[in-house]
Formats: sequence, structure tokens, C-alpha cells
Amino acid sequence: MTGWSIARALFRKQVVVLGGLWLAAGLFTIVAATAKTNELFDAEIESVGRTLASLDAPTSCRTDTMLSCRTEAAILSGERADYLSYQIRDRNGTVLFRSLLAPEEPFPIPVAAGFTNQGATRYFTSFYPGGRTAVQVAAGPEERLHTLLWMLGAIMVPLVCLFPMTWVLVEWTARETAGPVQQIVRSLQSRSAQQLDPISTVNIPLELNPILSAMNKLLQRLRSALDQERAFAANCAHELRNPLAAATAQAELLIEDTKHDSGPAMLDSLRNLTHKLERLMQLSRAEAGVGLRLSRTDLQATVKFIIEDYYRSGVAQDRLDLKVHSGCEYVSLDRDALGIVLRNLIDNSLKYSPMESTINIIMEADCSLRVVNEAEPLPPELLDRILARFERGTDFPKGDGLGLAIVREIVSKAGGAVQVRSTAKGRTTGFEVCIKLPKIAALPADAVSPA
Amino acid sequence: MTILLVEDQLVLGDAIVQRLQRSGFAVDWVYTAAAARAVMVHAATELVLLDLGLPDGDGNDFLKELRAQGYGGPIIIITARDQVSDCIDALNLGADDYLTKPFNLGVLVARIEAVRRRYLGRSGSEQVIGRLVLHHDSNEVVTDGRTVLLTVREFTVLRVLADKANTLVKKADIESALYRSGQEIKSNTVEVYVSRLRRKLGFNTIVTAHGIGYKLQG
Repeated sequence: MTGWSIARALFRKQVVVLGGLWLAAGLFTIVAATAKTNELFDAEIESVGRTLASLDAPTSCRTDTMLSCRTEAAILSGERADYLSYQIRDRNGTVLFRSLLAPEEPFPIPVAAGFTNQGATRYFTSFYPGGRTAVQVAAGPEERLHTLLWMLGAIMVPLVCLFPMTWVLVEWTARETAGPVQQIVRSLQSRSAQQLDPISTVNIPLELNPILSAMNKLLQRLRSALDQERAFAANCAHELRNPLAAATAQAELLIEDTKHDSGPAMLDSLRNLTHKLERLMQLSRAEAGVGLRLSRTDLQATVKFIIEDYYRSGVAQDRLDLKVHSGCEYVSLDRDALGIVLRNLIDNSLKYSPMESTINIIMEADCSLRVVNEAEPLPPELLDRILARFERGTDFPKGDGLGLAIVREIVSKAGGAVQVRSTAKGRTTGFEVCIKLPKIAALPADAVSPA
Repeated sequence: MTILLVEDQLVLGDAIVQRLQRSGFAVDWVYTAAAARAVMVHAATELVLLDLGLPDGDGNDFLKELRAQGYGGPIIIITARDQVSDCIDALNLGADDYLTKPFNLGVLVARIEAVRRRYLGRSGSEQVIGRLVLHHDSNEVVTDGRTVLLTVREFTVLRVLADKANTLVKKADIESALYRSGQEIKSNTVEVYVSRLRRKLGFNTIVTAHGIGYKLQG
């Protein structure tokens, strides 16, 4: 199936939006954390610088170990000593004092109050009272970077770890949100072609309700049209069959009384007219969708009934032979539609196969029904188009070319298929029609119409 | 045999009545279910031919009503409704057979005979009573190896007597069968036909109970 999926689209959009927001939040966090870390480290350097500047300025020796030790002990205690160093310089830049870890050479910055960057190192300069000497505190980038990375790690690692879970949750949410749509799709897919009862609107989102309401109205109109078609067919039958029956019966009496030579021809014409009328009504019903009517028909019982009807009427004598392979009970085809189909197939077989030859009706376990006769094999080019309307067998005057077209129309509308073979399966002669009937699906109880 | 025909199509009904009478059946013909109810009360109906599309209701309802009221005789449906479900519904409601219009009148008679045979427990169109073999499809009787062809009226009288063989049948019942077969009835009509039957089949075949009726000896 082509097209796009609501669930996938919802998932993709959620991932893009959530991911975007996530990324923006991450960037903001990085920027804010960096700024705050810089601010804190700057405050610390400044604090150290100002504290040192508040002490007595050195006067004699270049390095005062004791002072340095004291100062460092007081100010550069703990971890500070690892990343902070200082130099006390006069205005000319000469280093007067330095901390133990400070380089002998002067810091590569001018002696000017405030913060200065040189390379990755951050400097703070603070002047002693009098302004002749200044203390310059230097902070390397390592500790600052380490702190920053630690903070970012503390924030981002849990977020990254949560990402797969978020991915799964987003996908699940998208699937759940699209669930009602899937429910409707499954409900429609599981329907047989004949199932025209309304689609349930229970637990359906408001957005889908108008679509379902429109579909249910359409189904209702279709059911109503099928009911009207049934009523119309019944009325037609009544209005046309009664006068024909009266004419035929009176003609029979007239022929019996007068023994007129043209009597049999008149009766044949009336019977021919009746037959044609019957076929046209069947075609009309097939096209109007008799195969679409919701039903659950006992295949074996209906087939047996129709065969018994042939025997009762004396038309088929002992020519019909029914063989049943167990395994198929009910088919999703209206029994009237099945009646039209089977009667057409039997009528065709009676018409085109040799007198007194057997017509085999075989019910297969997979709900297919085969009607096999001993007719002369058909040429392949005729076999290809035999199911089309007004195509007839080799014996043209016998048929009207509608029987198999009616069968195909009904069976295909009901979701089944029709196959023709000549010669018949496993034989060197004969003609076979196999109709694959739709197996029964779960239907509402009120739709059951056992034969 | 007395048949009640319930059919509102006049031309068709007329043809059916004529054909059945020619086959020796007595026919009461009504157009509606209401009239059929009235006939069923007063007349001894032995078989009902019922159309389903009646002016005063659905024939299936009347069929159901007949069976509910205990009518045990054969009922054959004659209708324009040609669908399998219509046929199955009618048979499930208690009909014995179902004939779709238009039908051949000969087929109708054959179906009536078949249903009647089923009810009488016979398997074929032949009915054996003692040395007599009645052929209902040809109005012939075989007696002592000799085939005798009877007229419709003669066969009607013999059929009434044969249906209750070895039992006394009232003269009025025979008159009724002949009358509804479209025959003209005079005071001695039954005696005339009984006399003809005795001549053709043997004088001891039919016994007279004076002032009461006749009995076919099996």
C-alpha cells in the first residue's frame, strides 16, 4: 500500500520538534553554564588579587619565600594552588615577587588594572595602595575547562541517556494517538463485501466522527438501494410472471382443445419469452448488487435444495450428481444470489452437454463449487471470452449469452472468483466452471440467514 | 379429490380450474384468503393450491394460519416469487411443494398427484386396490391383466371410492366431487357412473349400501 502514515508523520514531527527544543535547551545550557563558570572563576581571581594587594608590599628581596608561603598558605590554599599563580610587579614590569608555581619571567601582559586575556590564560591585575606595585594573578584554562565540562556532563549525560527512552515513548505515543484510525482501518479491512451495517463510532476521536458519519450514511443508502432493488425485483416478477403464466396456461388448454398445428410453436415462444425475461431480471439483480447483500448461507443445504428442486420439476431426471468434500459450511453469499448462480450453471450444463450425460456438482473443502459437464471442448479463444456478456457456447441457437455473465457479476461482486476450464480438470473432454465463494467472516447475529 | 385453489389472477385461475377438472379433480376456486377461510370451514378440502400474492394479505401468513389451525392436508404453493429464499420459507412454513409461475399445467397436475401419493403412502402414480391397479396419470385401470380406459367422470368417481377403499363412501361426497369437477349433477348421476364402472371393472367391484352410499371392494 502506498501513501503516507499518520503515525509515522506524527512520530517524525514529534522527533523533529522535541529534538529541536532539546538542542536549543542544550545550547542555552552550554552558553549559560560557560558564562556563569567564567563569572565565578573571574570572581575568584579578583578576590585573590585584591586580597594579595591588601597585604604589605614587598621592599627588598625579589622572592620572599616566607611571604610567598604565607600568602599562598593564606590565599592559595587547597585546589587553588594548582591553577592560580601570581607575580608582584612594579610599574616597569619587573617581577618583585612571585608565587612558587609562577614563572620567573614576567607575565606576558602589561601592568594595568583589571582583567586581561593572553592566550588561554586569564589575568587580573590589582595595584597596591600608592599605585607603584601591582599584583597580577594568573589562572590557567584547565580548571575552568574541567569545571565547565563537568557541569555540562552532569546536565547532558542524563539527557542523552534518556534520548532512546524518549524515542520509544514518542513512537508509542504516535502509535497510540493514531490507534483509532488503525482501528477503523482494521474494521474496514475485516469487512466482507456484503457487510453493510454501520461502522461503530464508540471511542472514536471527534475529528474522525464526521468521516464515519458520512460513511455510515453511504452504507445506509446502499442497504436501502439493495432493499428497493429486492422489492422492485419482486414486483417485476409479480407483474410480468402472472400474465405470462395466464397466457401460457390458456394456450395449453387451447392447444389441448383444438390440436392446432401452430400450438407447440406458440407455447415454445411463450416459454422462450419467459426464459429471456427471467435472465434479464437476473442480470438486473446481479448488476444492482444481489451479491452484495449481507448474508451467511449454508452452502451444502442450499445446493442440495436447488438440486432437489430440479428433481421435483423433472427437468434434470437423474443427471445431477452432487459430491461434497467436508470442510466448508457457510459462505458469505446471499442464498438467492447462490440460487441464481447455481441454476445458471446447471441450466447451461443441461443445455450444452449430451442428453443423459451426468453433470457433476462438487463442493470443495475450500468453499469452491465446481460444476462439470461432458460438453464438447471449447476452442481456447472462445474460452477466454466465454464469461463476457452475450458470448455463447458453440451451439449458438441454444443460449442467450447471459448465464455465465450473470454468474461472474454476482460472484465477483460478492468477493469471489469464477474460473472456466475446457477440457474439465482431470478429463479429456467436458466443460467446467469453478466458483470460489467468499468464506464466511464474523457477522452480526441478525445477519444470519441459514438455508 | 377436492382441491381448493386460492388465486386472484382470473385468467390463470380459470385455466387451472379447467385443467384440474379435466384431470378429474373437484375444484373450489376463491380469490382471497378470507374466502378460502370460509370454504375451509364448510367444505372437505383435500389439497390447497395457494398463491402467495393475495389481495388481502401474504399467502405465507395464510399458510402459517392453516397449519397452526391443524390443517393436515397437502398444500402446494403457486407463485411468481422465484427466489430460493421464498421457496425455502414457504416449505419451512408447511408447504408440501412449490411451483413458480409460469408453469406447465401438466406439471401442476403431476405435482398434485405426487403430493397426493406421498400423503396416501404410495410411491408411484399407480394405486393398487385388490385386483385393481389405478393409473392416476392416464385415467386407466388394469384389472385381471386387462387395461380399461375410463372417462374423466368415471375416474373421478373411482378415485373418490379408491381413496377410502373398503370403506363406505356417502353418495353426497361423490356428488360433491363430481359437481366441483364441473359436472352437471342430476338425481341419478352417481348411479349412472357406478353402473358404468361395474360394467367395465366387474359387477362385484362396487358394493351398494342402499340409501347410504357405495364401497370399493379391495
